[in-house]
Amino acid sequence: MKRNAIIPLLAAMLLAVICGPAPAAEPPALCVPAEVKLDVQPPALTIGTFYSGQSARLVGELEEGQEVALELKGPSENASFDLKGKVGPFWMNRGLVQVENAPTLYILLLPAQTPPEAELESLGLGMTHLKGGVKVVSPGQDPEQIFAKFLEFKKASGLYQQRSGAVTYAPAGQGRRAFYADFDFPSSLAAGQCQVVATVFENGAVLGRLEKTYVVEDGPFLALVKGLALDRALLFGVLCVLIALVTGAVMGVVFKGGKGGH
Amino acid sequence: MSWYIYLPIAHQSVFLPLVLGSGFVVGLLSGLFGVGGGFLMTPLLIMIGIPPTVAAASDSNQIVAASASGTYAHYRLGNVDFKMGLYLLAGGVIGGTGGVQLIKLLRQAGDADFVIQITYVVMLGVVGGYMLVESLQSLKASNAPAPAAPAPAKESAYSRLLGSLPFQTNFDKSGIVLSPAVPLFLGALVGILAAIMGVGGGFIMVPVMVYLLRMPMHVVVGTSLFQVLFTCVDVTIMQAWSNHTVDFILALILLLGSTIGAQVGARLSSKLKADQLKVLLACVVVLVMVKMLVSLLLTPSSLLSIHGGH
Repeated sequence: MKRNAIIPLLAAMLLAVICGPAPAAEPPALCVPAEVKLDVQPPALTIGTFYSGQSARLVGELEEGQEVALELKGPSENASFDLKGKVGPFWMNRGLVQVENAPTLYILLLPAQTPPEAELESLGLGMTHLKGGVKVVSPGQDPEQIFAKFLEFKKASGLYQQRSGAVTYAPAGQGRRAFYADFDFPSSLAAGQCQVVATVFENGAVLGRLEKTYVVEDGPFLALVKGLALDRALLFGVLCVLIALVTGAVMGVVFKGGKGGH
Repeated sequence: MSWYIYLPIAHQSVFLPLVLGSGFVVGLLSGLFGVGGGFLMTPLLIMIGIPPTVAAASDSNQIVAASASGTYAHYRLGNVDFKMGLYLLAGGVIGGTGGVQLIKLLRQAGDADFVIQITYVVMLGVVGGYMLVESLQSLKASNAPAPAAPAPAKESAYSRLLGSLPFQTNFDKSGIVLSPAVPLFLGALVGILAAIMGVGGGFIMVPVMVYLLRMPMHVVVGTSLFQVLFTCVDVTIMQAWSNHTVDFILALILLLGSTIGAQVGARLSSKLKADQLKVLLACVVVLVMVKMLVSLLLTPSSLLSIHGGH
């Protein structure tokens, strides 16, 4: 019985492979400026067993003279953090803060002529703008400061990025020009449904936004492990212990050398 | 093939040789000294970016393998006192359960984390410092020429107290006679401390066995591993069930490294003198204390850290 339960999981681990790309999601259009196009390459991302980040490219086309800023937003989450503070000479956890409704991932790719931070905010872009949709619960602490620390924390993990000069334009032809922007998905990415947003602007005014859904999903093996861990937690815990015991025992037998038993 | 592997519960990609190597080093310490290694591995995992809750739970899972492997290796060498281990384990379960309730009360009362961390540093300092001085003196004495006629040792008050307790029982493997109340009581005490400090307690249990139960060092290591094994089985199942924080892939990589390390450690341990083992363990304990003290004094890179874990 125990062996029956372990073998499929062990077999799945040994056979774990990075799976192929999943079909792209249907792009819903929001306030689309005329003739603006946007695509993501690859069209979807699968997190395989050996995933360690992934290069991707956003490509599109817009009218000459227009500028574009590209955003990639992960699903929103609520997260709890310990806030450190000084007690005498020691750094200690001084309280619990919660950051609610913040995207798990935020990548902002801007053209070379990046608008200043204040203008970015008026365009509805940037990390400062994110603050509007995020709720910070921090009893006795300034939420503004906590949000700034939260941004530092996310930037350090690579989950929040803002890059100027990331959008490159091709020479214009027939009143139109193509654009592209390369970026890397961070290695600490979780599966979920992301939004890719192209904000088209000219002379500091937003002309419109084009939004697409981008799917990040777990490969079959990771999905199996995660499914077991979340949906059959007790069985998963027992399996983890059994596999650890078997591995420990096997290693004991493998190493059984010159020293005999007693 | 990539040298990186993705952890589905930690949502993090890690460099495979680094995690494998960390597992080996901690397994080596485990086999050598009979400690679980959680006090070392969990901070290491947090340093490489694993969320604290996942690091602590997955570490418990890998300790199951390392301690099973180490216990088996020590059993073959005749170094496990199962009888003593069971008494200590029973005490540990009672103490651990009480300790969990105590920590709840402490947290309700105020800034318990401060008290816990300072207690941790002081305890590590006292235990490590005492072990280091005592074992160095002992090593020096063993290297000096033996006196012609050793003076008869005077029985201490502690020895008289141990001898006066009821239900004196023979622990053959350790070669001592004791009341079972002693390992039960000391096991409970370590259980309380382990629950408060959020670690398995192996590094407290080992000095307790050596200095308070007066067990031979080689039997201490095997018996401690036997006890750690059961503690971590319980923790792994509870963490997986209640918190969903056991990352099996992380644990699997760690345990591949640690089981090999534990076997190497067990062999090394049988080749070293008891005093040499004690000096090495004391150095590890003092190093951990210094590391903790430094982390408390230096300004952290980020003032926010994911809630949970040790």
